Order: sequence, then C-alpha cells, then structure tokens
Amino acid sequence: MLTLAIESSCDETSCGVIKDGREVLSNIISSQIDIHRRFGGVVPEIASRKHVESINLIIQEALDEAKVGFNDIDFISVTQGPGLVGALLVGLSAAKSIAYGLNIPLVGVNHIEGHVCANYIEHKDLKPPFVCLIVSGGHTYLIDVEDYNSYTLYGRTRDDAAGEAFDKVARAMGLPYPGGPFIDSLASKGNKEKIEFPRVFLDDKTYDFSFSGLKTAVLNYLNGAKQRGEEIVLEDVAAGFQQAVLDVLVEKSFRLSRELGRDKIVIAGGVAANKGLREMMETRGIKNNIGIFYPSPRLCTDNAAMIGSAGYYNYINGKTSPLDLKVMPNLSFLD
Amino acid sequence: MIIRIDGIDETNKFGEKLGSLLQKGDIICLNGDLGAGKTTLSKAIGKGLLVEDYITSPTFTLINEYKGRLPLYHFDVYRLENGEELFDLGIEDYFYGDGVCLIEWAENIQDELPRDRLELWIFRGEADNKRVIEIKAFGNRYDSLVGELKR
Amino acid sequence: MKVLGLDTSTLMTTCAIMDEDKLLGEFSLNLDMSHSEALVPMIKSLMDNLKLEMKDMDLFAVSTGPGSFTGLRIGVTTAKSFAHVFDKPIVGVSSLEVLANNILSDKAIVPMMDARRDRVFTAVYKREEDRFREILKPDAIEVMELIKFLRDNIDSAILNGDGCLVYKDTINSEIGEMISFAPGELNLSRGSSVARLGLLKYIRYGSDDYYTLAPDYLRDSQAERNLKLQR
Repeated sequence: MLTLAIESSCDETSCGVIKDGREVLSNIISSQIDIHRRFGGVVPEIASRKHVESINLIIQEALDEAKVGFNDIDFISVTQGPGLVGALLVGLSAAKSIAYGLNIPLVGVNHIEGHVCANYIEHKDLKPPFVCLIVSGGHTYLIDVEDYNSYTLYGRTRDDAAGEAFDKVARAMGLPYPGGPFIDSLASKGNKEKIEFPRVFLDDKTYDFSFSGLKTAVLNYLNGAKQRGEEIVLEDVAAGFQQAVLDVLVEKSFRLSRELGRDKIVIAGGVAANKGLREMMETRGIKNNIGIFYPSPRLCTDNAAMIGSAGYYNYINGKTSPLDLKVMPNLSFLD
Repeated sequence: MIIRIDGIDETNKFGEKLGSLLQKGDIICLNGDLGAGKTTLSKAIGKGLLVEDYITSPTFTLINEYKGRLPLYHFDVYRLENGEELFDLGIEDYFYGDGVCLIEWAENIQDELPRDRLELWIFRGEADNKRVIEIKAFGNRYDSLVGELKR
Repeated sequence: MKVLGLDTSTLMTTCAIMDEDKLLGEFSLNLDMSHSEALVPMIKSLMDNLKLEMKDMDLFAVSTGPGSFTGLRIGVTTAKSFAHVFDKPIVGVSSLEVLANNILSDKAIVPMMDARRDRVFTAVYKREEDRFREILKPDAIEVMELIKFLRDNIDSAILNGDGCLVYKDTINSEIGEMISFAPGELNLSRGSSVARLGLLKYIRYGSDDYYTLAPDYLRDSQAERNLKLQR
C-alpha cells in the first residue's frame, strides 16, 4: 500500500511516498530540496515556514522521486498536530483536497507518533512492545508503545525540552546553531567529571523531566567563570553538561523498561542523533540485555516518511479521518 | 514599576497575581537574557490564569496554546530572524484574538508589537536566585493593570 | 467550461460551480468556524448534489487576498491542490473584486474588509463592462485616509464588506451624504463571483501556476511598500 505523507507542523514542509509503512520511496524536506531544478535558474525564495508557497512543489518532487503518480496512491497521511496552527493547516488542506479529489482515505497522524514510527522505517524488524524516548528541540516524552496504536505517556518535560537545553547552552558557549551536534562533538573530547552539573530527577516516582535548572546552572557557571577571569574549557563544559542530561534520560528510560518488563528501548527525535546518548544507551543495554534502537539522522528530524509510517499503522487498524478533520496544535498522547 | 524578587516563591507569587488579573486581548512581553526566568514567570502567569497543563518553553515550537480561564498563547520569538517570519506565523490573529498573548524575547520584534502592551524586563540580581523585574505599561489598559498589581 | 470558485478570505466560507455563465450551485456559510473544517465537506456536498466529480472541473478559481491569514492559506492551498491533482488551470482573484462584484452600479464601489488597528483592506472601483477600473488600488489604509480619498475624488459611492460595518458611524458622520451602505446580504463574498471573475481572468490572461500561486496578504500598505523600496 502506498501512502502520500505530508508533514508541515513547524519549520519544514515535507512530503514523501511510503510503502507498507516501512519502505521509503521518497522523503523530500523543504529546507533540503534543490528547488533550482524546477525553476531553471529563476529561484524564488522558499524560506522556512513558507508552507503555502512550497507544498505542491514538494508533493510533486515526492511523487517524481518515488516514480509514481497521484493515481498510484492508496491513502493520504498528514500531520494533524501538535504544531503551529498556520503551518498545520497548509498540510491538512492539501491532504484533504488530494484525498477528496482522488476519492481515497485521509489519515490524520500525531506528529509525536510519527517520531516513534521513524524507527519502523530504520529497523524493518522492529515491532512493539518497547519503551520509547522522544527527545528533540520541541519535545521530550517517555512513552510505552504496547502495540502499533497503543501508547501510554509516562514522562514529559515540565519546562525545557532536552534538545532546547543543548541549543541554549551551546549558544551561551558561543557555539554556532544548531548547537546540539557541536556539544556532542566537544563532549567526546572533554572530561565529563571535571565540572559537576546537577542531574534533575525530580522525585523518585516520576518519569517527568526538567532541564531548565541544568541550563541555568551551566549559564551561571559560564557567567561566574567569565567574571572571575577563569579559563573556560569548552570541551569540559560540554562533557559535563551533556553527561548531566544523558544520565537522567538514560536512567529514566531504563527504569521504565524495567518496571514494564520491556526488552527494547527506542530513541526518536533530533537528540536521538547524539552519539553520546546512543553510546550510553547501548552500553547499558548490553549489560541489561535490552535492545537499543534509533533512526538515522535524517529520520530524526521532522520528515514526512515517519508520518507515512504512522499513517500506515493507523490505516490498517481502521483509523481514518473525516474530511472535516481539525488541526490540533496541542495534540498529545492523552487525546 | 520595579519589583525585586528573592527566590522562586516570590516569582510565582508575582506571576500568579498578574495572571489572575489578565483579560481577553492582553499582551504581555517578557524580556531578559538566557536564564533570566522568562519561562519560569510564564508558568506562574499561566497558573494565575488557571491553566492546568504544564507550561513548557516554546523556543522550538514557537507558539504553545493553552486553555485556562482564557485561552493563553505563549510565544517565543527567539528563533525568528525578522518581522516577515513573525507574520508567517499568523501572529495578528493571536494579537487581536480571544485570549492572552505572552511573548518571550519580545524585544526581538519590537517594531511588530501592538502599540498597547505590558513589558516585563527581567534582570539578574546580586545573587543567583534574585531578580529585578522592571514593568513598563503602554496604554490605558496596562496603566490600570499596573495599578492593580501595586495593590 | 466548468469553474469551481472558492473564497475563504473572510468568516464566510463559500464555494460555487459555474458552467460558463450559468450558475450550477453555490454553498455559503457565515459561521464563526474554522474554514479548515467547513470547506472541503462543503465542496463535496455541492458536487454530490450536482452529481459532479472534481475531475469534471475545467478551471479552479480562488480568492487570494487580502483577508484572513489562516482563511487565505486554507482556500489557496485547497484550490492549488485540486488543480495539481488533475493538472488543471487555476486563477487567483482579488477578494476585494469578489466583494465589489456584489454591487451592480455606475457609482464608485468601495469594498472594505477590517484589517484591524483602525485600518481596512479596501479599493475603489468603477465598473467598466466586464472589468473593475481601479480608482484607488487595493491597499491597507486607515479608515480616515479612505474617507478623505472618497471626499476628494468621488461624487457618490456604495460601500460593502464587513469593514464598512465596523466603521459605519465614523463614515456616516464624515461623508454620510455621499455614500450608501449595501444591504446586509451583499456584504458577504460569494463563490459564484470568484468563479465568474476567475473565468474572465483566465480567458484574458491564462492560468496561474499551481506550484507557485500564493496568497497576497497585502500585509504592508502601499506607503509602507514604497518606503521599503526606497531603502
């Protein structure tokens, strides 16, 4: 079954064609598209979030690359939320028109669920149940995936998302944007024990996260050192900060998998590309006999393929959407 | 109006009080450096507005929407580069809509802000958990809001 | 030639199908409801009633602005996607002309849409056979500026659109003797106007590009645009 998937929840517009929920025939992301081709020299500016301007172009690129036409598509998958209303509406409007025009089903998808499903694309044999840690600039969730359409939310951030903490600390350290990969790289060269930053676990029972205190601690450290004229060793700051984040992420993920008796932990979202996180998870996974899974970097960011995968698993379970589907900027697993 | 804050409890108290006084159409700008406590204050304001959900930082999501006594639209324009990007978010619909707008890093979009608004400038104090908040009112509604805050 | 015309630039959601000069059907709802929910089901209902399918459409026409930010995005994306799926022509039309089309008169016609901050999206047109001659080009201007323009340049005018209701009192007190307000039902955009104006535009100028057609929000007033050009 082929789905045409559309994702436009925030910065990017992305379209892709996905087969049977796992095989990516195309996955076009607006900021990465070479639009020069289509305009043969006259390049209009397709800035980020110019969704209306670019969506049909990107849909066509997705079809072309997949070597299919509209008539080969069996159903449309589209992000319903969470995200920016103005952005979501564009994807949703296009999806509805196409679904109605072709007289094929429409499947509204939860963007967070999309991140989980990115792993089904990366790992063809991965099946639920597993614990999933979703960490990005905008989201931090710890969930249990019991079955393809059965999710339970156990933990979430109460203030800053993990990816955001990386980005802001990086900025305070004078690193370029996006800061996450820079911190990751510096951390591997630094001494993570040199500077002790707080690991915020909150109370014993909760799986929730909090990173704003850690961010403040790093900022205070940097300010203080600057004022005292002390040398700041960026590698050590990065290593100390990153370890403080990872300790909490990894500990809570393993604790949940232990509590639920899961033998797999799956990571998703932009921070899943962090090498330090992957290594720490894998090392502990080997010790505890827990399989660790994460997507390739391209599938960690917002993209349509993951929406197509989530769409597929909704569709085969009979979950389709009506043509008066609303965007839901606050959609969460609780809905 | 200047407020000196010593510790998070006082931040919460101030924020909750402000939140309880807000009306439809209010625009509150939160300015201050990284780590000054804009999101912390936002949480308190949200609590004062009877928002039950966790209020998290909108740095990457750009706009978070909540339901309280009134709809709360929580912006963070830190990542935006120009007024055009702001317009593309449909910000006018929010500014003149049915709820309260809370804008972090509002100083980055000074030219695009409505003329009438409340500005909160958060500065660090002498100690790590101390803050100084400078409150500037623009327009009659906010003059009277500040009056109510003083009581 | 069958034309599907849609307008979601105001609170009104409206769609219509015309076959050349003949109106086959039109649905309009003035609801404080998101266009996102109403539009495609409304189009489907219209088509089902007329026993037509999207592939039967020869041309798509849509109001591209000015108007509601989210409304325009929904309408334009919806129309573009229909045109894209069936590889059919599409034209964007001015939502101000669509409003003006409600009025048949020799007088100046002044459609007004509320643009907030005491401004209106407006233009001043005079009918010339099939066209609207622009006496004042579409602009986002303060109400007083429009009033001054009308006082200085026009003998008599008919005003319509939601914007004229918002500023009715001011307008009446300043230039009440030279203007009249359209009856209520003519203040709202109609899909049939979009279809008609779209077909005329297509015959004259051909199709727009369904890849690149975008809303024209008229975000800046003409004055602001001039300033930006100078810089």
